[in-house]
Amino acid sequence: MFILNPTLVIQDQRTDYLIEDHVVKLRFHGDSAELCRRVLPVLDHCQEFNELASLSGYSPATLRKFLSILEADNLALALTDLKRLRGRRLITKIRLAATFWNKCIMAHALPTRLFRGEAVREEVLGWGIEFYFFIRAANEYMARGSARISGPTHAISGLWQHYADEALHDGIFLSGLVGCGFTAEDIANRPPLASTLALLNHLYETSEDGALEYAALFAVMQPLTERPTTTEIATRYQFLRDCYPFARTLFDAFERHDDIDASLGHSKLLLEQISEVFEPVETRTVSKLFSIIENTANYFILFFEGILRHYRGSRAVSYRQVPNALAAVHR
Amino acid sequence: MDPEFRPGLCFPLNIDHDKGSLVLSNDTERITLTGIDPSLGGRVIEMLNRRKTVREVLLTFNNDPDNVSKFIETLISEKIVTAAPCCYTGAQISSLLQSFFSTWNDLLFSHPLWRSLADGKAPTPVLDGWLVETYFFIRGANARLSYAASQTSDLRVRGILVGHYVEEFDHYKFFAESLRCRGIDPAAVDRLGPLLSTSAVINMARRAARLDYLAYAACSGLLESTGSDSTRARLFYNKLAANYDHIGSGFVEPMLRHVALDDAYQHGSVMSDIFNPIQRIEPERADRIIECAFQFKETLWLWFNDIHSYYHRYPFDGTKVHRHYRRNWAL
Repeated sequence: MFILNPTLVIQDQRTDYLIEDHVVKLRFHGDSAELCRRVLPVLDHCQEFNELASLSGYSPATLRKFLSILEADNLALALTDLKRLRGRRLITKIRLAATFWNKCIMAHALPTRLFRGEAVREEVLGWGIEFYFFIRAANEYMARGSARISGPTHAISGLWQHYADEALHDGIFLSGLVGCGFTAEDIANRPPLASTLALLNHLYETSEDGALEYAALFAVMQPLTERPTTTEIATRYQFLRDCYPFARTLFDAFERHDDIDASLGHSKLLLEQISEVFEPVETRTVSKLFSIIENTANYFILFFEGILRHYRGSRAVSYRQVPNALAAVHR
Repeated sequence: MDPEFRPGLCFPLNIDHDKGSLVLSNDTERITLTGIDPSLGGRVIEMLNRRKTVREVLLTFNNDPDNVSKFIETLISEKIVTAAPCCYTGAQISSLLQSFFSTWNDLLFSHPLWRSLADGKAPTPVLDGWLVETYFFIRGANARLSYAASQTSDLRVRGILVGHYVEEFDHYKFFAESLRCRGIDPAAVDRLGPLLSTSAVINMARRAARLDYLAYAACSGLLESTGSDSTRARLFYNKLAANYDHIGSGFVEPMLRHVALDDAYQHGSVMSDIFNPIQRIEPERADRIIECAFQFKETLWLWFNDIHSYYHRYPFDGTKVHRHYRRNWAL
């Protein structure tokens, strides 16, 4: 199948055809513009290049070239001929999908504004609170995944190590939030938003599907080919501390966590470390891995949407009642 | 007042301001309190939400202890705060849940999705989308009810859940038939899969089931409280037929047969059948049950939002091989 980047802005300007996202802007002219006009609307209807060729009237070779241009800039993803995706080819494609979907996540209004220093107080703190729930959930979905995966020890021990590395990190974020004026019990007992739970439950449910499926959950969280340096991490968070002084300790926590992750090599794709052992990967599983990567990205987007919808006033930050049965006393 | 008294805020409690006064409200009442500064009153309530003792609250607000103490006494006399009992009976929790369901159902079914379907203002793609997602949701009984049975250690309760499952597991057939009447192939629906929010509803019910089978029973009770109101359901389906079935496809007929079957099964009493014989439920467990039911209600709201906004923009198209969950462009 072919997936066009959902964040694109597309403009048909008669002679020219514009495709852009927040990083790249491509202008197609003349015959190339006509190709865009005929190919893009039918992408969602085609599984393979030959189907796309018959629907658009262009040759598979032309279409491959066109899609490779879009794919190079993460403007599209061609998940075709899955039967032939094995070994390095599979890993390359998974890395491409991870980068593609990570870019979609980061193009959302919340992270975009937040990392530019343009978010308001409620959004920053709301994001910190809900992100804490995501980190804490490692002890649900990573614990579950670690308990359920099976395979040769040398293949899956990296997944166990990954969970052990992450298992105690919720404390880092909790202390970061306490530094912002919350109490630990207020945060720990607060009910997560429904959109946050949707993400956490997706992670949990997928974590028990198998070692490859479990590892695929992390792909959109690990899109980097090179791990960031301590200086890069420090610069990033100093900027955020300067923009949001009320959340200084929260960003201290993020910096500390990112430093630990970088030192442990958590930016490396987990799937890369284990997929060789599970070769040959069945085509159905390959398809499922791409679906997991896409769904995980979309649940992150839902997670951001929920934060923007809920954290709109200072009361939404300081007060979320812990539901209880006390009203039964008066019945 | 005993300084070691730990007042609990009866759920739900909303905090607002109106003309310089503190306004507290729950689902049915709204109380304006004039004797306290609204900012101070709000902060006291936030602290009570953390289940602090009277002594801890007074220590925090030590420059105005008399006023704060008087405020807490007012909250007690207004039955806004109370002490947790040593335990609840199942009948008490069931009765409390029923009262929540009554107000929650009014809220849920006032959502624009339901209102616009009932008055015929929703575009046809929203109707079809609602039908598609309802088909997945009803099919999801196999993912949640059977799972709940598997997580239930109490054989009496497990027996009720299994009986419920046996009566419910194939009800998706009614909705598949409705889809066919609308010219939508259920095989295409299966291929494209549900919206993430539909999966989120099913996953939230599964989360409840693994936390506590009584929490699942509460979530299931919320669903059945809507389904068991057969008069309301018939009225709604007849409105759908009047608004949308101009060609006489009979697409509501299978859904009306479903209502009649559910009526015969009397699933509206499943929750009370589970809870009522239970003599003792610890407060922490009772609170968790209410919290799960509340989060399930919030997830249903998220689901209605998603169906309404998604299908307004993107009609279901069974000829596609992939559908985007979120996208900016329209081709």
